[in-house]
Amino acid sequence: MNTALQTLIHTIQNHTTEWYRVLWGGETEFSSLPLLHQKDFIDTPLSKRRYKDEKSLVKIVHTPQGPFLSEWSFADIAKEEWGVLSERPFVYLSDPHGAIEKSMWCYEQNRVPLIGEKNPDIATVAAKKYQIDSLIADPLSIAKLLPFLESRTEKLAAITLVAEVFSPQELLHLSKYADVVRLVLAFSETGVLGIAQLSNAPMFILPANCFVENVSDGLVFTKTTQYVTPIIRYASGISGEVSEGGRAFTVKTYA
Amino acid sequence: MSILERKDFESVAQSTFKDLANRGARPARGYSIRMTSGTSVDGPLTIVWETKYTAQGLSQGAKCFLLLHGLLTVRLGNVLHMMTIGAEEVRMLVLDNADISPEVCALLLDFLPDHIYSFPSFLTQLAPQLDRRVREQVLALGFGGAGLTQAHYDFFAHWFPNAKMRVVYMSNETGSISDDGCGSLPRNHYHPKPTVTVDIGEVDEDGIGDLYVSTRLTERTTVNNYRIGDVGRWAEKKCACGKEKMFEVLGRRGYDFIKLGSAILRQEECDRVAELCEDLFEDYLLEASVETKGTVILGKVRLLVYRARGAFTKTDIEAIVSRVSTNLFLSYTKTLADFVDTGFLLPLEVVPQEEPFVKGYKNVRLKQIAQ
Repeated sequence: MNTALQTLIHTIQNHTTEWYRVLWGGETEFSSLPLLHQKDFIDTPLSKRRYKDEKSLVKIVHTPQGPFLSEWSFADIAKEEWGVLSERPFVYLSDPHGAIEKSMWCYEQNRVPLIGEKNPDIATVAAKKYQIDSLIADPLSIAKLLPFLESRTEKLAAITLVAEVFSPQELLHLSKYADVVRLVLAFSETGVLGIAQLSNAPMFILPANCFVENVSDGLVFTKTTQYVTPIIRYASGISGEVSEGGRAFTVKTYA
Repeated sequence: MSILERKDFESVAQSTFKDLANRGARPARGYSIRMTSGTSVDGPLTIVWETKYTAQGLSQGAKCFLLLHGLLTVRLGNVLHMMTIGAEEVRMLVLDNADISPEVCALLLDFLPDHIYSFPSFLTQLAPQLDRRVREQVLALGFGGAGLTQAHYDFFAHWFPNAKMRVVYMSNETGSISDDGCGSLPRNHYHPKPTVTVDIGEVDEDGIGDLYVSTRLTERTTVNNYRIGDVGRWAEKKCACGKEKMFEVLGRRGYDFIKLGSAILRQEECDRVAELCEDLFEDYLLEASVETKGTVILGKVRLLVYRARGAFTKTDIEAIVSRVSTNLFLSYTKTLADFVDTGFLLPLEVVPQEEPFVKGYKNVRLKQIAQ
């Protein structure tokens, strides 16, 4: 087992917070640890699944089954690969909690971001003023920016789309607006699970602190960082194929 | 004195962007991009703040910080600022309007904020939905921007019984103008921040005039004598804390504060009287203007009223005229009826409306009609 993962599991097993110990029962073998589901986040108050105290941002995650809190330390936000470094990033996301998070990621990379107000007309006035050179958005929000993107004479350095679900065919047209279009697969509670260049059949590369198993339930992700709520064997509900080397995956169906 | 008007602020805003582009080794965290809300003539402005000059310090030492604000740029700016002034392990939750629901309010039992920084209208929606245990944990309520009405004070004191309330006078163009408050200030009174100069110009016989603000926005950009759009006056007495300089903000010229000669229309007072008339109408808009009759200039107040439950009768209109005229104070001692009696104002005109009013920014109900 990966050393970082061993250390994390050891920390969790000896932590005062009981959440994972209760979830795991007495199980110690990694591949036999019960899977974590989003429902476990919904059913457990944040205060019962916190494994560290750091300066942090708490987000509200809305799901059809109800909302829950997801807490991320700013140090951990900094390490997620939310965007491509540029001088004047623009963050325009449908989820205002995610927008604050990705904007703080920019600050942690020593970049001053422009966070877009919800109204796309107001957002694009500011984007023009700031002369943005990259964009972090999602498939829904970017649709509102199309007139602005169309009006630009220069390509952006990068567009990053963050989402739980992608329809790549519907996004291919975005390639004309940026040198690079990346897809970042993520859930609010997990952080980045995979990053792909936009194509017909994107191949998602796992971040360095993440690995994936392909089990009967679908793709199961584990991250070796001790987040406020660590991610150990998270059942994503995504079905897909894992590459031979185990560091990449493609998606057949999303959750 | 050369006055900087809102329409001329764009050049200042551009200068702040140049400063950002030339920040060199200064860390990104020292800067935030702000948008104004666009209540003034020309629409929203985009501007850069260097936070060490512009930020307020209301939630110093917060451990669990709850932020409620409409503008995303303001939310981000405050999260960034809390990284510096909050406790070492400060946790921050930033609520959106769309978050307010019984389910989300229940989640706050799991967060238990000790400091809340909010726009007043946002918190008035949220407060009644919060569990008592959440509300009792709150030690401090901070508000930036517009002042609080007495109704707000009473409301928040009721729902957050253990919280101290502080208001910082500030604008999205200039940042904080007042200090964080001494705890002894009367409502809508402020001490200027030590690094900010406040002047009150074009003062009338009541000492009321336009507020001008001089401050630094970034290392290289200052504003001088910016007419912020609010009206105010210097307090005659010294503050109980001992500071000599104290000013009162009376409202936004032409929006929630309208002067017709010596008659002052304030939205807070109009709202109070509207509550007294709840049996007669449900919503209103008030238009103030000036008419010239021969050589005499007279003030005119027109009250547009709406109710869902049915058309207004002649008797209803007469009752509204009477009740509003005799209850609406337009100075410390005189009602609208008094001003009509002295021949300064025309009698109140009440105009029923068949459609509900379209809600504007900040629910402003006063409108000054140009001649």
